[in-house]
Amino acid sequence: MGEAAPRTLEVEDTPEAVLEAFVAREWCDGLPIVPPTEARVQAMLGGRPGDLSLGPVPPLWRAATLEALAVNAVMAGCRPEYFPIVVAAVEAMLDPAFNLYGVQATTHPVAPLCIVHGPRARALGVHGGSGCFGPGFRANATIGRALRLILMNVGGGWPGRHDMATQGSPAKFAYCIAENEDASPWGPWRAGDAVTVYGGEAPHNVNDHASTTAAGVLTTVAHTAATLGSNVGWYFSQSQLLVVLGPEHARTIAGDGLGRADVQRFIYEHARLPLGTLKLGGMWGMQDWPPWMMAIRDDEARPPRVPSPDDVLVVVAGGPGKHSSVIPNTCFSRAVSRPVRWEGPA
Amino acid sequence: MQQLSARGVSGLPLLVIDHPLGGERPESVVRRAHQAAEQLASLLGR
Repeated sequence: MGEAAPRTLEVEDTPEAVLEAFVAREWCDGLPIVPPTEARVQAMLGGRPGDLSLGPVPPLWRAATLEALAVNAVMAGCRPEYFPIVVAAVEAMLDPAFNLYGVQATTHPVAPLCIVHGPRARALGVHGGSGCFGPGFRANATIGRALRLILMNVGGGWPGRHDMATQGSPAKFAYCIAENEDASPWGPWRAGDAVTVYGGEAPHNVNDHASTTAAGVLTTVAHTAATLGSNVGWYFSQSQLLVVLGPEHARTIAGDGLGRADVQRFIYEHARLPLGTLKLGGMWGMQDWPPWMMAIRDDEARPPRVPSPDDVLVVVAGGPGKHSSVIPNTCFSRAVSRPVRWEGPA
Repeated sequence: MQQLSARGVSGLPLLVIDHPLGGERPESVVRRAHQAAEQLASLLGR
């Protein structure tokens, strides 16, 4: 969607012709789209002012007007009821703390994970149960895809041009889940109807079929979270770890009396590598550690990978099974939450 | 260039340093630094 792109495009009314037209103009992710006709875009807007801009979207800094967002939401296959979630997620991504320019342009395979909180989104079908990372759930797939199309078409993050991800990521097609609040022994991570965007890698699996204690499960989680190839820990002040606990693992942990803060503290303390290992590769020599960490000389010492226990984010999602996941962030972006405003202008 | 244009500074001269720097040997980094300094001097002298 370059500046000179026409407002309307006439294409033969077949799915094949529409796809060819959008692929040829680099207006989509390579998958079939729903044609964003005027009527569909207006229905998506639902009376909101199309010319209202949420701000410029990097790296090409084009305006995130509600109309532009609606066009991409239609293309992605969103129902109009999902649009307030898309708008809230874009608002969150445009918060300077999220560093969307970095997330869009980096060589790291980072994608904004959209975590949807609250009962109303769940009623719309945003899924937080079995297989929540996909495939199979329209709300998750199309909200996530809409955000990606917005980043490509409005922001200009085209692979190899302004999105410089070395290998890209399957998470860049669509990356949206709901928090499974009902299965969380600690209640919701974020109360009310809201979204959180988190600049993360694709999920890293945590397989623990053996542990029957909090210590066992959390040790496996921590081991998965600390790897030499991770971005996390090098640009220290911005590093975060998202832990998505499957309900069974969460129950095991809570059964031993641990709260969410205890989980955060455990992982903060244990998701670490010895200094001698960190010296072997990764981004050794490029880290921006604070002076007290740079002063460490003992190769057996284990410096933290995130600034504080609060930078370990703990959410419950998924269905039956002994799997969880760890999602390292890109180390220069912070998670941001925004309320979903269901009615009226954004 | 599109980013410069989007920011309204399409005529801004650019100092270009080839990617990547990470993993380069020190002598290569020094060579690039010298090239960058030459570029900078040229840009400032325009």
